Amino acid sequence: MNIVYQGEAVETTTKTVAEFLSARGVNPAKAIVEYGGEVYAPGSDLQALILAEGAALDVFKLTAGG
Amino acid sequence: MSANTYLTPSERAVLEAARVGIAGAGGLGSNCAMHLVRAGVRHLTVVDFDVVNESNLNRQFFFRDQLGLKKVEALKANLLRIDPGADIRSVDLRLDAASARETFADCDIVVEAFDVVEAKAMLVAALAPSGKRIVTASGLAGWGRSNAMQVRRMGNIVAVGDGETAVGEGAAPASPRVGIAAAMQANSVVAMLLGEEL
Repeated sequence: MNIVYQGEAVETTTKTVAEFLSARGVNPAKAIVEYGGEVYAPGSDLQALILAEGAALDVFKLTAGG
Repeated sequence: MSANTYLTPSERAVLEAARVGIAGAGGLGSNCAMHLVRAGVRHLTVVDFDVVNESNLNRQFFFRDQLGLKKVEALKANLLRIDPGADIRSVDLRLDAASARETFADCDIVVEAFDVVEAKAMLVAALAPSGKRIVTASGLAGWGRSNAMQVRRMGNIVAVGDGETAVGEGAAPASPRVGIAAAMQANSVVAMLLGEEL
């Protein structure tokens, strides 16, 4: 399946947003996630978000410093 | 403070009427607050639990004669030097989710300006679901790569920074890049208040 991750086409075999992010080392507890027009705050449960062909997934990682 | 004469009366009125929350008075928060007051925002709620120390002076809006003072009080004093009529509500507190919701309840926009990742996540998770507008920043360590600093809108959240570079060994929190992020946060707040593009 192909999705658009951070604005770029990406092929993946993962089924959910949680699996996809885990495979890329993104911790959802420390990231803001936008998928399917919805924004998910850090710590949101993303297990139920099924990836769909062509869907856009955007992530902003929270990092130390301020 | 002498008002910015390039602003229209209605723009000035909008900025003067708004209340902006600042969560954290370190490199991001102190500099963002400075920009906001210079831009014409007159009501701020600033929250921090820490004191000014020597290591803050390389990037934060404090001065050597303020070492040992509570950051919220030192910052208030500095902001009032810019605009003596500003209404700066100083809150000496380590925020958690419940106190964040209560403290910022009357704020139009909240600036997330913490340095610890878990605190950043806590604040966004505490406020975002209610629809509160939040301007967060991450990815501001080190030098150069100015063009990697971006502003992204994600629903009611505005995210500033490169979203990658964490402060740590080999990536210092340096004044120029922290300052860029703080200025971008302030710029986003002003644009949001005035209904302009980010």
